[in-house]
Amino acid sequence: MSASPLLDSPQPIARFQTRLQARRAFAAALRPLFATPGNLTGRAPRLLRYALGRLLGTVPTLFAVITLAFLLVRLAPGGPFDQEQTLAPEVKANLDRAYGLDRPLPEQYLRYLRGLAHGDLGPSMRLRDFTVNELIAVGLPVSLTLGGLALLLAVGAGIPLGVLAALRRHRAADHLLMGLAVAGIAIPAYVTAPLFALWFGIHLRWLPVAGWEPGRPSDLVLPVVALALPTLAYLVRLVRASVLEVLSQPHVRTAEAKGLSPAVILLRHVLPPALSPVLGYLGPAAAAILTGSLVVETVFGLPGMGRFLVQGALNRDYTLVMGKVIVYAVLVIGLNLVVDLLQGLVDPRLRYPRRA
Amino acid sequence: MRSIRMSSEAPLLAIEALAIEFAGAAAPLRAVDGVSLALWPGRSLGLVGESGAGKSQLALAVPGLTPRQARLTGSIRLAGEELVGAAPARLRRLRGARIGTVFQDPSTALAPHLTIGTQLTEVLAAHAQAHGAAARRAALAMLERVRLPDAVTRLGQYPHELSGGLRQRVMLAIALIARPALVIADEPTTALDVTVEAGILELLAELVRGEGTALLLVSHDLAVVAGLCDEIAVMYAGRIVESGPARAVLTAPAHPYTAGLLAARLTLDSPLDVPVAAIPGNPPGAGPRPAGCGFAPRCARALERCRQEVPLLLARDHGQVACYAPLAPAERP
Repeated sequence: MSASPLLDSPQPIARFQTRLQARRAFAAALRPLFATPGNLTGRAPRLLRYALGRLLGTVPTLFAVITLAFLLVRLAPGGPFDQEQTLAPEVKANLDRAYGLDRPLPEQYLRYLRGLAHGDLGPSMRLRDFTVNELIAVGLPVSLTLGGLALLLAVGAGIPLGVLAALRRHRAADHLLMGLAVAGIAIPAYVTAPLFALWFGIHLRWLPVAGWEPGRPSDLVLPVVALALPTLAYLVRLVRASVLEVLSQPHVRTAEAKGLSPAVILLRHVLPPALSPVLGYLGPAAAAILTGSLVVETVFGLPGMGRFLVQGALNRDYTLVMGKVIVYAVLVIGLNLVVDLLQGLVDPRLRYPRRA
Repeated sequence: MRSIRMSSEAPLLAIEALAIEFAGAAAPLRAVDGVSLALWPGRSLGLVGESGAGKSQLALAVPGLTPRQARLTGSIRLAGEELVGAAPARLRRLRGARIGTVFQDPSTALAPHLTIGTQLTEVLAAHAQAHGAAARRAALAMLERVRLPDAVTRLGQYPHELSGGLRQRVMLAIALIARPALVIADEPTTALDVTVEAGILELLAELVRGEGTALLLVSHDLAVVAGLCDEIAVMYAGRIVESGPARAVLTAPAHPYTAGLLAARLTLDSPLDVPVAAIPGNPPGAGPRPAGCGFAPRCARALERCRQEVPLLLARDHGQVACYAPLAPAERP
């Protein structure tokens, strides 16, 4: 690069440019939407250190969740072997001994933790031929597939539709979308899921009513839509409100005063700050969707893990409940961490906690 | 103003009979009510007035930045080209390139999530003046022109990493980087500390004078305008009530409102035991305006005629005044 007559020394610019290019490549890989390079590569060690620190910070949270869940399931009256027909006392005593339920609670807790430390969630107390690890190994991929697709649908349709509603504020498209969104939020899955099965499965015969066979993608359509709908509807409203909020900010008027094109203003100046609150919502929402829905899985006969929590709790299947709680907690904590890091990309003010 | 400036050159900016209206519950609200003014290349004009006088709406109408629901009538011409009713794409090509705009509060007017470098270079990219490395060199040179210390580092920083005064320097750099012919500055120092204000004003004066850029400065502060502008236009209730060379308007005001504003000024040697000579009453709100002169209800000199007819802005001495009972030279403070 030749020295500019405007400048005393070209050296710092060259450095600035190399840094900028490296950042650009890194940021482009992470967020193709944002036309602006993030301030990442230059500070990658700091980001890594920050992420590791946050990761360590999740350990006490997870520990607290496990402890509380353990105590709460034991607090509920009854146990895994109390059923309609009472078992002979000797049989029940044998069962309790086999599962270690005859031990004092603190000892059971420590045993459970020891198993957990080895990745062993224990045997299911009601589905007796299976360990909780096996049940989750079967259910989680189903729920993750279903939930992942539902999440893609909700985000892929919810964000553009929310932006559209904001840009067409108080016009027909906006009113239509907001009406649909209110309906989508208000009508629960136990209404939409059977209706979908009825209309598209039985009346129109477009799609299978229920079932789960690997390699049959048509099985997925109805449950994915039913699962995505409430999140999608909520996202449309959230994105609309957030985009309108950003549009009213003075810096958008500055962008207009620069003579930027509407597309650049929307993609570079409005969307990144508008998506920050949306990300905050998506973390926990994604965890809920990915761990499956009892209603959707029951209606469409899917072997996911949505039913584990309710069935496990009703049956006092202590280990199964714990298994689902732990999977859910790990997802919530993990996704919140991802969201925090992504929010740092969107809003540099949130990037790293400032040192005092 | 045109009548008094015997310039053979055509004005860069010519506003004629401009009205800006907003739909109101009963009647439309007129923020700007038939304003005409002209600004020549390299000259500076200060628009002064109280909040709600319409001065910001008037200034922001030039780059087409009035709120979408505003209705504009009349004419705004930039170098002969009509801007009222111009196609959005045409206005977009002028904004940033021919007309630079400096906003009031740099803590909200800069995008919080973009680096200073991006916020500067995107202006050049939008107007195809420079891209990539050339744009960044220009951005760096511009930051040095606004005397931002450590300019190379600043390119990669975000607005929140800068102080208020430095942010306003960045705002000036954004407004001027594409070398516009006209700069609109809407209360550029109102949100800043007094200690920072002088530096920004000095810089603004230096930048526009050095480039031969015309400046339309909006301020409620007479002192700011006095130090920076060749000419002054005083606005009240959507109309210009007095205009002329800055020195003439400030030393020998003809309109009772201008005289009242000047009398209400405080200086460091103002006696502490004498109350400030405030203008009684309040400026009219957003609703329907009084029939005659907007200032008549607050004016000690108001005649019967003032309450019925709107006085026209007519040449008088060195400037123009819209008043049926102007102050005679001997009466002026």
